[in-house]
Order: sequence, then structure tokens, then C-alpha cells
Amino acid sequence: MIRVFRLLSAFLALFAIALPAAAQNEVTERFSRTSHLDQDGTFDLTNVYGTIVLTGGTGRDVMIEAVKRVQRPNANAARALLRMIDIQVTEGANRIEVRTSVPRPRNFPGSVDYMITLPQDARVTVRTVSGDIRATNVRGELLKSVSGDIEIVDGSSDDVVTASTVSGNVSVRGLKGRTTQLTTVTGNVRVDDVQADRLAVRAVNGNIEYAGDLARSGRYEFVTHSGDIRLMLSGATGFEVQANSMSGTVRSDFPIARRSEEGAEGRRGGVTPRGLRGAFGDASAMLVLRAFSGNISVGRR
Amino acid sequence: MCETYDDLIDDYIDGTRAADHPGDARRAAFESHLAGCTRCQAVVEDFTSIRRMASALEEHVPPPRLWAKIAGTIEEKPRRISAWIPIAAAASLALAIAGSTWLAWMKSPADTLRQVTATVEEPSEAPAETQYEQAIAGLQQLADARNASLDPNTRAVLQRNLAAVDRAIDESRAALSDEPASAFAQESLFDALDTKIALLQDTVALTAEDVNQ
Repeated sequence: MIRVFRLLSAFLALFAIALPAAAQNEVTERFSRTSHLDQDGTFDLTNVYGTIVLTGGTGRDVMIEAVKRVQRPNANAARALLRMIDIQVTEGANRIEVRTSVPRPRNFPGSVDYMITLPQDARVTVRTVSGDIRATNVRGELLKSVSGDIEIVDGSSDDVVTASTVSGNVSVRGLKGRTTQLTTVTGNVRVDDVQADRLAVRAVNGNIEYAGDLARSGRYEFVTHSGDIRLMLSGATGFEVQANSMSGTVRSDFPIARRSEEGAEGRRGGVTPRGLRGAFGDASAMLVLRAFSGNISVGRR
Repeated sequence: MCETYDDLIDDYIDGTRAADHPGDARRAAFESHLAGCTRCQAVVEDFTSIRRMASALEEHVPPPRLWAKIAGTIEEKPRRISAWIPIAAAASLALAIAGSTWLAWMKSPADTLRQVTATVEEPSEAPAETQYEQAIAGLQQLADARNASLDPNTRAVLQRNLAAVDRAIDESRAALSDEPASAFAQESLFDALDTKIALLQDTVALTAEDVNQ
């Protein structure tokens, strides 16, 4: 009986959400602002709902283009709500801060999509609650979303680059960073052709894929609980590997000079971590791979 | 003209009336204005319907077994653990304390701050996992207290992901129970606990930030 009631409640809730969506009026308003940043300036953006696209360029200007959107059945109400979305830009000491605020209630039916063009040497911090972040040729230091995907393409940084999302995917391609940290809980992570002295990738339920070369003396740490870890390496750089999975498989296409045939821990009792510990080539890079129940594979590209 | 009253609409929807604030002429003027303004009436109606819809959504409550499990863990005998693990745990704990204390300092009432710091501030010789649990309990308390200020969708996402992390913690604990000396199981457990602390810190930060105001 309780189950039937819960099912009925779920249907009613879905109906209540879907009904207003059927007859929505969307109203939009554009926001535009250009500011100046000197060398190594800081750009800091906070959004709530909406997509953020950042593109690094050679100029010194920061061009902020934004579109505020509200969807409501009543067009007049939508316009009134639209005016309540506030974008505040604060400039000072080679730093630009953009803050997006929406009024209560918390499930505000509006969003702001940003398109930002900025100097490629700018230090960038972007945080949003719900929305994707795409950064191209940007020196991103912190990109953070709760339920959006994060995509980083090209760009370089001597600082720590951190991309973190809770339920979204993380994709990084062509980034040159000294230290890069990528985290998600239930999303997947894909990394292609990056150059990093230290790369740390963590997921809980997601898969981790890495394709490209390894840096000599680089350290790569990939950890997931129930996802798979899949590396596709060119083999140009030798590496030492410590790979373990509690209940999945561990496989390498590279001839690994093993240190333990039974795995990093060997066989003990009822729990048998499957592992691989050894070296390929000159062992100049370090790979640490851990999956609790997922599979691990190190293949050739 | 209407926009000058926008900041009073929230309070009005919350039930605050001019009659509750004798002498507040602006609030009284707003209510007079509202009676004849279709634009403001539409905004109030829209916000009220949004609030009604939100309140109809299912409230997520942590399952009782979670609390029973935490209580059971705290009472467990200390496990054999590698020498480096308490150090790593202490470092994570210090970060958690710093983060939660800072957030509490910035935003929460004094009694909440005292409760949180009382839970986690005193270093002890308890096993690393217990220290993690203490840090998590402090953050969880803050997160629970402020969860209502998050929009339902974000709250649902965070709770779904916390549940995924809890499953990872449970599985790691089960593996460690089968093989107490397994460094791999220990690392998996602390990975999952680290993730839970980070996720709770994010939750607390989201409820505190001006971004949501």
C-alpha cells in the first residue's frame, strides 16, 4: 500500500513539474561588459544556473557577454523575474569579479549563460551550481560545478589546475599544466594528450580514461571505486606501475617487469586484490592505479 | 516604480506583513501598491506557486541504518592500521576542521559554531576512522541544518552522490572487515571518507555562499 502511495506521489510530482513546462514563455536579456586585465590578472566568476564558456585570447580585454533567461507560463511574471537576476562586475587591483545573484526561492526558474573572452594568461576561478563549464586556451586554476560537465581544451598553467564536479563528466584535452587535479563523484573523466608533471584523477562511480604520452618523472594517480580505469599510452616513456583492483581485473599490453606475480599485496585470506606492480622501460614515470570493483587496463595507443 | 519594492517581495511571500512592523512606512506602501499592481501580483503568485511545488517534492531522510552503522563503528575496537594512515587522516581532519570552522565563523550562529567545533576540535588518539567520523558528523550537522536553503534539484544531486559515496564506504568497510590488514581496503576506505568530507564541505559552502542569495 505504501509502495503504491509512493508511486502515485512520484507520478503526481512529475505531472506537476511537467505541466508548467508544457506552456512556457521564455524571456531573455543580454548583458555586455568589457574590462581590462594586466599580465597575470585574476578573473573570478560565480554563477548559479547556466552554461559558462571561456575562451583565452592574446588581447588584454575581458569581454563578458551574458544572456539572462527566465521561463514561466506568464510572460509578465517572466519579465519581472528576469529583472531580479543581478550580474555584478567588480574591478580592482588587476582582478575582475563577476557575481550572479538570483532571489529566493531557491528553485528560481531562470539562468544566465556566459560567454567570456579573456587574456590567456589570466588566472581563472569559476564556480557554478548547475551548468556546464567549457574553457578553451585558458589558464584555469579552479573550475567547479555541482551538476554540470567540465571541459578543458588546450591552455597552459604553471599553477595547480583543479576541475571538480559532483555529478558531471570531466574532459581535458591538450592542457599543459604542472599539476592537474580532476574529480567527480558519479561522472566519468576523460583525459587526452595532456602534459602534466603530476596528474591526479578521482571518481567514485565513474570511469577514468587517459590517452597520450607520459612525462618523464611525471606522477599519475587514478583512483575510482566502482568505475574502470583505461590507459592508452604511446609507450615512448617508460613507467613504474602500481595497479590494484579488489574485485576487477588488471591487464597490461606492455611487458611489465613484475615485482609480485600475485599482485601488490599477494593472496591473503578471502580477499584477493588483483594487482600489478612492476616497471616498463626506464620506469621514469610513475603510475598509481586503484579501482575497488572496476577493471584496470593499460594498453597501447 | 515596481522595482523599488522587489526586495520586499521575498518577505511578503514568507508571510511578513506591514502589520507586523508598525512604523515601517515602506512596507505599508508596498502592500498598498501590491493591491493595484498586476505586475507585482503576478510575481507574488509565481513565487508562491514555485514554493508550493517545491514543498510537494519528497523530502530525503537518511536511512536509520546509516546512523546505526555510524554508532556501531564508533563503538568498535580500534583496528590495526598502518603508521602513516593516522597522519594522513589527521591532515585531512585538520583541513576539514579548518574548512567547517571557517564556514561556521563566517555564517552560522555562535551556538552552531560551538557545537561543530566541540565535535571535532580536540585531537585524540582515537583510530583514524573514528576521527574521520567525527569530522563527518560535524559537517553533516551543518549541512543538515542548512540543507533547506538549497534548491530541491541541487539538494537531490548532492544527496544522490552522498549515497554513492556511502555505498563506497560500506563496501570498503566490508572488505576491511574481511581482511583487516589489507592496505588496499584501508586506502579505499579513506579515499571514500575523503570524498565524503569534500562533498559535505561543498554542501555547506553552497548553503553559505552569496551565490545562492
